[in-house]
Amino acid sequence: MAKDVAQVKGEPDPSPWTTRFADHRGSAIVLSVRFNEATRAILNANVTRDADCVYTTLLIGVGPTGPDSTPTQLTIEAGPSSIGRGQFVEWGFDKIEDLQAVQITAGR
Amino acid sequence: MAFGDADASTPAFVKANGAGKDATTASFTPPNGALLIAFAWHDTAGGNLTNTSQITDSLGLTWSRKATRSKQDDGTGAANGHAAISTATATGAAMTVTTTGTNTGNPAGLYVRVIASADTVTPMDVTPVEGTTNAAVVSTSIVTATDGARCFLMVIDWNVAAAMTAGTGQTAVISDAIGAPDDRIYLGVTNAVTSPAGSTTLSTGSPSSGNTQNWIGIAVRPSGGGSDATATPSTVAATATVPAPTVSTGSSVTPTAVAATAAVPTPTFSSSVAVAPGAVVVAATVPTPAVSTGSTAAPGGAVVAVATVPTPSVSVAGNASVSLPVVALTATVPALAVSTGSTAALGGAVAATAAVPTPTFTSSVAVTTGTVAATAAVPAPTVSTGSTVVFGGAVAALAAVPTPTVSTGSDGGLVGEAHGPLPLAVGAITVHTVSIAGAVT
Repeated sequence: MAKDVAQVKGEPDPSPWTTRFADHRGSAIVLSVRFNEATRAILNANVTRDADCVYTTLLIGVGPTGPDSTPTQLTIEAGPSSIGRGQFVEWGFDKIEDLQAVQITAGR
Repeated sequence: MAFGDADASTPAFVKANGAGKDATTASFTPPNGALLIAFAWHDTAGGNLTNTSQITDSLGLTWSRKATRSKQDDGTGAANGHAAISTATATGAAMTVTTTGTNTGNPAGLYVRVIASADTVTPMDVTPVEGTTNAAVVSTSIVTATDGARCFLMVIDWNVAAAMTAGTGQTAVISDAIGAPDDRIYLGVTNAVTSPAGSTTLSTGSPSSGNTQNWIGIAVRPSGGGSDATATPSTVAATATVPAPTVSTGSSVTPTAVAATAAVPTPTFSSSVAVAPGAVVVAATVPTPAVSTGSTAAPGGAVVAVATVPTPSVSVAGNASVSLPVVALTATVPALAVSTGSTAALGGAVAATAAVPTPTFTSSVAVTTGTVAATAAVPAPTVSTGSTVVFGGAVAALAAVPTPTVSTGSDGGLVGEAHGPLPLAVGAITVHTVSIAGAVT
């Protein structure tokens, strides 16, 4: 979800960077990534999945056959969970702009 | 589930913020024949007049562009930012969909909505509306042509004002940003179909300042031309008549059979259709032959008047109801008028038959009739002095209401009166000579 404030075009997003993937009934996975606004380094992320959301996986990037084959994917359990900085670094994402440089969606 | 709601197979929104100029959905498997609507947003450089986008998929389907709003497509009067809507028809196979920008900025967003029961030949009910709005909410309207269409509003704000909210009577499907962010994007849907067809407002609730927005409004057409329909003819009638024969002096009329049949065709009920005629009347009459002096009217075969109401066929997909206040059938054989010196000899049977057919109830069908009546009468012949009436065969009046067949899950209650066989009322007969060879019932 976008921040509910106007920004200057191209101005970096303030922390957290949040995006929502809703299914046909409006049940969703919400990803909220916290980062250092000065250094832009990713700190951690909170993920919440509605229990009846049909999407169960975060798909970050694109693999040989599309998003479903991306090596950067995470199964999301119902309810709240978190992703530590270490996981992001392991995926190759140090700064928030690294994460924002690839596509992101949700899968089943 | 209302028409236009997202099918459960709809893939998640995808946002691509850098590196490539395209965005690809996760794999999804839409039902065969479903409509796929791709809403694609692409950032553009300021003042860019040469930006385009294209929808492709992993199956090689044919996509039809329905609307584009951008400076390239609409000139300098449009805002920066590129929005496009395309459609295709699903085959039932698993697939992914990609939007690819050309000469656009890197950030892109894609949402593919799967809609069942849409008109895939003409998915856009009317020409899409589009425009550009600056420093204000988007507020427009679209006039639908087909009852039951569903409307959508797509917006891209290149100025990155605050996140957009839905206008009254609408819901935000997507309200997000693409890029760093570089654009705010929005997709809203009306909360209900537009019924009856007419003007529908498409709008955002906020923000009302700081934005520069390209927008597109569409109405998606349902298959079958509309939502559930109700046909309520005041009267359903069929009349068949045999013209009265004219028999002049010295002539003979000897038809082997005189028949008049009137039938109301079987109505066909499709999904959730209600048919409620005020009355269903079928009348079959054999006119009175006029037999003048010295002539003979001797139909050698049966004189039959048959009136039938066909069994309505009620099929699937929803509960259908037939409400018939009156179901009436009348079959009459008119009274013979035999004048002096003439002879009317009916060699065959004289029968009037009125029957209400057995209704067949399938799943969850209710048929409610106010009155079910079958009336059959053989009138009293009028025989004047010196004339003879000879009934060579049986004289019968048969009226029956059949037992309805009620299958599982149905309610075959007949509310009202049912009249079975009626006695034959014999009127006063003043004759000189009457002989009846057969049975009188």
